[in-house]
Amino acid sequence: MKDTKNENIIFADLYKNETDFLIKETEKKKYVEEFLKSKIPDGKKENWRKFNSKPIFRHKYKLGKKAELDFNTIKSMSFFNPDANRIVLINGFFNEKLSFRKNEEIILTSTKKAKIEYPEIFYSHFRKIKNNDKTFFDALNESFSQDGAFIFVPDNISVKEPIHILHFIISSNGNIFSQTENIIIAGKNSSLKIIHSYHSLSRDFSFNNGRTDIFAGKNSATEYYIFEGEGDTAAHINNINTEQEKNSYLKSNIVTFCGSTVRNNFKIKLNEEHAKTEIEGIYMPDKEQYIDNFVEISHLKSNCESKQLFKGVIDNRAISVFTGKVYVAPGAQKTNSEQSNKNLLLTDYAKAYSRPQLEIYADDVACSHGSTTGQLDDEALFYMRTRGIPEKQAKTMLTSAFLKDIIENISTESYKDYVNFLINGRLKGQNPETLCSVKLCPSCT
Amino acid sequence: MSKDDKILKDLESKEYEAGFVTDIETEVFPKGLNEDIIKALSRKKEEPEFMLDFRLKAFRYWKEQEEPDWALLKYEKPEFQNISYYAAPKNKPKYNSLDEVDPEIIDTFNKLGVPLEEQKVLAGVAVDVVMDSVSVHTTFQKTLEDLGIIFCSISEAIREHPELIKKYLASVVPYRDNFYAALNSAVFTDGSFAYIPKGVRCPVELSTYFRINQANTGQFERTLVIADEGSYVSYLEGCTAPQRDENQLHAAVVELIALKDAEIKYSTVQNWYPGDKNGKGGIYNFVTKRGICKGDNSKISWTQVETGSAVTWKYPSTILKGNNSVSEFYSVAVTNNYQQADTGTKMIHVGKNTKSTIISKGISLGKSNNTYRGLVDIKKSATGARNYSQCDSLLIGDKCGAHTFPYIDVDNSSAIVEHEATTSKIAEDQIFYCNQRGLDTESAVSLIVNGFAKEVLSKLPMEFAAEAKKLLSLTLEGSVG
Repeated sequence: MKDTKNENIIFADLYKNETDFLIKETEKKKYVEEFLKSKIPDGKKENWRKFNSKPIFRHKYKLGKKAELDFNTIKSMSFFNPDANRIVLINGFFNEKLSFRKNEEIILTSTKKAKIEYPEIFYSHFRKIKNNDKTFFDALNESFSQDGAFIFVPDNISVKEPIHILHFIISSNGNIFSQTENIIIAGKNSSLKIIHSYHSLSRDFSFNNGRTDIFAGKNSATEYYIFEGEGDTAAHINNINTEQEKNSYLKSNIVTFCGSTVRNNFKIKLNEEHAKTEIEGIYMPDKEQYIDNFVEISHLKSNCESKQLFKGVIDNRAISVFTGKVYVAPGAQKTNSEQSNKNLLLTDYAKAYSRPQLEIYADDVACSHGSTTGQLDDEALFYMRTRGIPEKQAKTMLTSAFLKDIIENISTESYKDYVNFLINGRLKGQNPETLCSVKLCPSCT
Repeated sequence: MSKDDKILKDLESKEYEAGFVTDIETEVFPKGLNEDIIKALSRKKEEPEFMLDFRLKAFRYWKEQEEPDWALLKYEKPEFQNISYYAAPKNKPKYNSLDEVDPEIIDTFNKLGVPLEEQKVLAGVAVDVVMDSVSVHTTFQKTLEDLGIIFCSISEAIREHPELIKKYLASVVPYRDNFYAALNSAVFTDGSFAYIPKGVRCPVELSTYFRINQANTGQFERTLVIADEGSYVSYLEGCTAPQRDENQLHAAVVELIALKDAEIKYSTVQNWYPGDKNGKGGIYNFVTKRGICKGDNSKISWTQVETGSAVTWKYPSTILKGNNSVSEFYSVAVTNNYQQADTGTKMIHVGKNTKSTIISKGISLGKSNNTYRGLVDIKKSATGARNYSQCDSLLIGDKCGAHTFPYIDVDNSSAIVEHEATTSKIAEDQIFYCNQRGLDTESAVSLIVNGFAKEVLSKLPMEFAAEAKKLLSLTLEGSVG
């Protein structure tokens, strides 16, 4: 920590001239005070083991401002569907012109607008998920978040096409810091799919500190896909908090492709009986990237089910961290939980840290976890080579087979193809940065 | 189900059988810890200068440290200034035969089922008895001496083999390692020392019995086992402690060193007083155990059966430094009532083609919490390293907790690391199957628990396996025949 000004003050100063915050003016003092006292997590904090914040704070940032973007840039993305619901956020701010609402019955807007236009819905969900383990990043977001995506699907409504939330970082000069606070609410008996993708169009460094809260109502079914592809010059702290009611189903899928320092915090609470959650993730760090997935699933009531599957292919000097925690509260009987983390190390400099954890306070449960780290199976490789497949190609085939089960579970074809394209490109040795660039897509090279 | 409930109740209400106090006059230092105490301790033990320096360095380091709190344990922090750091049986002279030993001590061991005479003759086990902190009796010294094996108390080794102590003490667990290792380095009073010379296969199982005997005396044992090139030794350690109301602190350090082609088999049965069924009293067991496979092709295996202590904080670990070295860890941990255990292992792979296996079985009963915490660390140089870990937890009753926290750090692409864990209770269909075959529920539970732990129990040396089973059945009384 620098002796002159600590990071808390530097970041608080960024917001000196800002006024429009999501929190009420009267609460501001309390939040900011809490933020100024908060600590940047380092490796000594058990949940942040191996985390290194230095690459993030090495840069000086300026606050991301509202900006415009040409619609054609967005349109060129291969999995983009111009006819589907979408929310476009640029530098963390809602862009109404580029956003589009197809289904009249749902609310698709920004958190800032929702606060004014739908105060009842907004305030019954805003900050309703409690976080007992606040760090610098949580407090920073809570104190100063200004905007984000707001999706409300009322009871008994089913949205067929995936709703697309697009995040863009655009900067003309200088490093950008941006924050969003997104709220997604699935009403009773509703169903929806969301693709939440992050992109950067900037060569400068960017730092995104986001929060997404998902409320899955009774009997609802939600699929939530996250794509992190902000390029090598981005740091991303992504906090995802979810609460699930009775019989709800939530499927999360996260693909982390780029980013210099990425930390995804999933905190999933199964609040009522028979809730089911599935979370899957793929990460492919390269060069000196650091990708850290932290998942905490709390089984608070009985008869809930959870499943975690994370797979990583780690190249060059990259580091991957996976921490999966399953907490089974006292009395949460008949819990069913599975957890699995598999890592493939491609070089001797790559590092994989894996911590699948179980914390169980009930006896009638079936919980299992597994973790493997290693390399491609020599025998399989040899078999393929005896069949005349060159080594490099055999390796590519085996690696993509390794990731296949997760990719196959993506239910939106166009998005699945896009992820497949990126993975294959990466395995063929293409630079992840060019791959992640928005302009590049299978059809428009 | 009513029968099950009865069994559970029986299990929970099982009192500690080995709880009794031997009345031997002991010399006790005043409570508290400062440099003067350490100097007095060192003088008392007639230690050379370098030991005092080591103790003081450790103490100065310890003073600046904070007690770690990352473990999943809740307990009242010990008041370190409220502990007496030295207690020794007053009649200290060396004995030549068993007859000279205080008959009460003999009686203590008889109560525990460790008849020295019988063991001496029948079992062929050399027992280095530690009553509180000072070694009282060493058997089979002669047989061992002929082979060049040194097996004595660590105080004796410090006086008589300072060159070995200088070279190896704190070489695996430096005093800066952690809070309790620093404390132990500063104040350890006694413990065991074993040195197996080159190419010697130790013919008997070396064994020590520890026992906390003086109220309010924290016990700080220090064990150092060195297996020189091509040697083999099987080392046993067992603990029982009398019933006490105040929490007692036990912070031992165990260091194992296996040189080229050497093998050390370290087995332990731990049965410190766990506190009564209301969670009152019991021993705090904060132990640092670590071995190093220093030379190529060396092997260290840890086997532990943990049934005692109110709070356990223990991670026997191995640094696999030599190429092709092998380490194994087998553990059964049983917690009952309000016991808490945070235990596991660390396997640090440094050398090429190193292999490690971890098998951990946790059984939780009553309101206890049983945590497995283990690290598998494959360093960059560990090409071809291999690890397999398996931790299974069994929950008996719905108020206990079983937790698994593995840490898997891999820095080498050729390494293969696997971890598996399951948590379950005894399934009704298993019980039903046994019932069908004419076993009552009680025997069925016993059968299943035995089967669950068998993989580990079978790794214990013969003499110990019987005792381990006895301890297991004490904890599971009413269900294990």
